[in-house]
Formats: sequence, C-alpha cells, structure tokens
Amino acid sequence: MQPPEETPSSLCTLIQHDSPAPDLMDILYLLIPLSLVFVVVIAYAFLWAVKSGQFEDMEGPAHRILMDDEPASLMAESAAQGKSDNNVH
Amino acid sequence: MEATYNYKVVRQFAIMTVVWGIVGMLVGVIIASQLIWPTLTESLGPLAPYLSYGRLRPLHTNAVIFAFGGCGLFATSLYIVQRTCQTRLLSDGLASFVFWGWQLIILLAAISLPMGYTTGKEYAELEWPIDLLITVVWVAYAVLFLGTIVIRKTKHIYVSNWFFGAYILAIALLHLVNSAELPWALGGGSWLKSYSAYAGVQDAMVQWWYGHNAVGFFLTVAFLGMMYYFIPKQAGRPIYSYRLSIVHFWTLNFIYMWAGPHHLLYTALPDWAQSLGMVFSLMLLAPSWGGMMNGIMTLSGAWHKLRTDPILKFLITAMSFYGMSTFEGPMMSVKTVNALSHYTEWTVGHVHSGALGWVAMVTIGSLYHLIPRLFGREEMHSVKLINVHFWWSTIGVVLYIAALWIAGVAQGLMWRATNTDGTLTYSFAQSVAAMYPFYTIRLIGGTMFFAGMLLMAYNVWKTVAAGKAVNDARIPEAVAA
Repeated sequence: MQPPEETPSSLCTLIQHDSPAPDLMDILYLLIPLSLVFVVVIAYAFLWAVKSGQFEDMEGPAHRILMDDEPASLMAESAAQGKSDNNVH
Repeated sequence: MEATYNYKVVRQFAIMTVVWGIVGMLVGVIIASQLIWPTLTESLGPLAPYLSYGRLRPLHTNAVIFAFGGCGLFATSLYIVQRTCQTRLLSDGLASFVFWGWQLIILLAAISLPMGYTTGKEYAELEWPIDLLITVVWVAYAVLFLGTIVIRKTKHIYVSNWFFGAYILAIALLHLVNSAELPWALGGGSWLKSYSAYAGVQDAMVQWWYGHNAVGFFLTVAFLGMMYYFIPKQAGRPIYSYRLSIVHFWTLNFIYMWAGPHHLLYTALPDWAQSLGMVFSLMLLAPSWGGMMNGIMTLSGAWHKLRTDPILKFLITAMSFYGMSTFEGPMMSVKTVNALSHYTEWTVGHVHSGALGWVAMVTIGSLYHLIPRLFGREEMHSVKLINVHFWWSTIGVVLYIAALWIAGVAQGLMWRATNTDGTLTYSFAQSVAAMYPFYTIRLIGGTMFFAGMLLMAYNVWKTVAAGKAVNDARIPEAVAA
C-alpha cells in the first residue's frame, strides 16, 4: 500500500483562501437573461395578438364557446358571426 | 365524410386522471400515517426499504402533480383546443404517442422512485433517462397543441388556449434548464445516477426558479385555462369579463418568472435577489385576485345554481381556494412572516390548500362536466354522489389546512422561543412531539379527500359502463373561415 499522499500541511493549503473569492451568484447571468428572453417572447406574442385583431371583440368569444353544442345554436352562432363581420370596426 | 373531433385521447387521459388521482392520494395517506406511526411499514421485511418515507414522498408529489394533474391537463387542454378552434387535433398518431409516452413516464417514476433513484431535486426527482423521455413527449405535446391552434377554423384564439400555450412553453424551458445534469456513467459510475450541472447556492437558485415556476405555470396558469372554459360551460353563462381574463393572462405571465427567490429567504442567496423575489410575489396578488373575481362573478345573477349543481360547487369552491392560497403565498413571501413560517408545516398546509382546494377541485369539477360528454350521457350516473364527494373533499381540505396552520405556527414559535438567559426553551424533539394531534387531524382530512376520489371512481365507472364512447362529435362548419 502506498503511503497517504496528502500530509496535514497540504490539507491546510487546500482550505486556504489565498485566491480571490469567485462571484458566487454567476448563475444569475443565466437565469435573468432567460427570464428576459421569456418576457421578450411573450411581449412578441402580445404584439402579434394586438396586431392580428385578437382583442377587437371582447364580448363575442365569451359567448361563442357556449354555442357550440347543438345545430340549432350553431345557426344562432353563424348569424352572430355574420353580424360581427358586417360591423367592421 | 363529416369532420369529427378526436375524443379518444381526451377519454384516455380523463380516465387515467381518476386512476392516478387515487394512486397519488393513497401514497399521500400512507406517508401522512408514517408521520404519526414512524414504524408503520418497517415490519414488511424486504419491502420495507421501498416504502420508507423518503422514497414514498417524491412518489406522492410526482404522482399527484404530474400523473393526476398532468393527465387532467392533457385531457382538458386537448378537448378545449379542439372545441374552441373548431378543428380536429393536428395528428391522431401524435396524440396517441403523447398519451402512451406520458403513461410510460409515470410508470418509470413509480418504479424508480421507490427503488431510490433520485436526483434529489424537489419536483424534478426523476433521473436523466426519464428526463430525456419527458423532453421528447413534451415536444410532441407542444407540436400537437400549438399545431392545432395553427390549423384552427376560428379567427379568435379563446383565452384558455393562451393559458395552455404559455404553460407548455414555460414548462419546456424550466425542464430543460433545471434538469441539466451529468450522468455518473461519464465518470465510470452507474448509468442510473446523475449530478446536477450546477453546484451549491447556484443549484438552489436554479432549483427554486424551476420549483416556483413549475407551481406557477403547471399548477396555476394551466389550471386557469381549464377554469376559463369549464366554469362558463357548466354555468351556461359567459365569463364575467372576457377583457379581465386577457389582462389576467398577460400580467401573470410578465410577473410570475421573477418570484422564485422567495423560496430561499434567509439563505446564502444575495439579499437583493431575496427582496426582488418578495416584491414580485406581492405584485402577483393583483392578477391572481382579478382572476378569482372573474371566475366567481361569472355566477353573478345566477347564484341559485350553486344550490343545486354540485359540479359548480366544485368549480367555485376551487376558485375560492385559489384566491385564498394566492393571498397566503405572497403573505408568506414577506420576509418577517417567512422568518416564522419557513421550514414549518404551514408551508405544507399552504401547498395543499392550493393542490387540493384549487388544483384537484377544479380538475374534479371539470371531469364531472367532461366525462358524460365523452361517453354520450346527459350527466354523471349519480349527481347525488357528486354532492357527497363535494362535501367530503371540502371538509377534508379544511381539516387538513387548518391543522397545519396551527401546527406550523406552533412549530415556528417553539423554535424561536428563548429563556431569559438566552437558551432555547424547547428542544427540537419537543416541537416534533407537539405535532402529533395535528398530524392526526391532517390524516383524517387527507383520508376524507382520498375517499372522495373513490366515490368519483365508482361514479365514473357506472357512467362509462352505461354509456358509449363518442367518436362522431361533429365539428360545426357554419363558422369555417
């Protein structure tokens, strides 16, 4: 068996802090840009939604999900659709 | 041939939601018992190590969040996206792949966690081969869901789909960053063990950036998508304010990502990062309560429906718990409150007021609405049983969280109590002993909630047995653009 390589003195050098302390929170350089990227992505999605007219009608969509079951209500829906198409903002 | 919706994958996920709910909550009941009787499973001989608290606890959290909650979200999101976009899913094959892939992941979790394979990261315990599989299935789900929105027949994208879309993208990002890990095999060790790519406080920060946003996007944003469809449908009324639902969505998304550090108050995390997390957590109160009001006020002018419709009771009670836990959360992120509440049972109570009161109840309510429609029935086999289920669950949750409030505050006060000479008044073991009565009440509450799930399984079984799988749900053509 080989003798232990590390003597007490070399152990001491291991725990000496003669090198400058590293920046302990460099993980934030990853997480903050990532969160900013996420914000940019949703900001882009938001602008797309505004420009493509997703928010033009703030009443109709809420009603429309209630009228998708029976053929009879479907007709009411298509009538409503036609009406909103005519009233272009 | 007339175009139809793909109800098959919705049915599969809906049924598995009930199954995994029972499994996950049963494991919860077992570990709650172990806290009262620590030697409960030790007499089981060779089985004992697999049933120890440390191994069952991640199994419980993974099963209820990703198996029960996950299947519930797959079922409802894939149903809602079809019905509101008035188009069939992008691909039946992909839908099938997502279903079987997710079941395989759950199965692997149920095997590997009791065997002790874990990364040690809360809510991300699964080892790297399973992490890779999750990535593949999640990408397939993203393509399926977002692709269906792309081929939609309606001009407008209903608000629920926005919530689901944000959840899918955010979870992909969170999973990829937090699960970055090196297999030990690279160092000549086991193929089933890995180490995180980050170390020390860096790892803690990544972990709670993930952990907080997993709660935010998986357990909040996604279930809000469910809420914005099923509350109006069950009430037969449009959402109180569609405009508010849009505001709710965008503000939640802009604010949520930044609140993670509140899990690490009074740790090695820099003070400014802790304060940032606290401030953003407080800001979250506004959109959360706006959303809660929006859901509840949908019944404005039709409150009488709450008297007779147990499904609405589930959904509206879920909104109340959503409001309560989104008030409690920001409050607990205030540093002075956190100094008392952190590491105590209060946190566990808070999580369950969200997980049982909000997530589970909104899922249960939605399933009671959904399942008859998937099996060609007017309503569930027994509406009376839904009502019984509602009361068992509600009383169960209230017992659970009230017991842990008292337990948590008692714990916090006992830990910080000092004598006049500066020594601690109580030993740690004394604070553990003080928990027994509250652990017992918690077990009773949890068991009631679990028993409710059994009632639900019976009710679903009878509904399905007497029904017929609907495969010909016609897609309306009237509004085809």
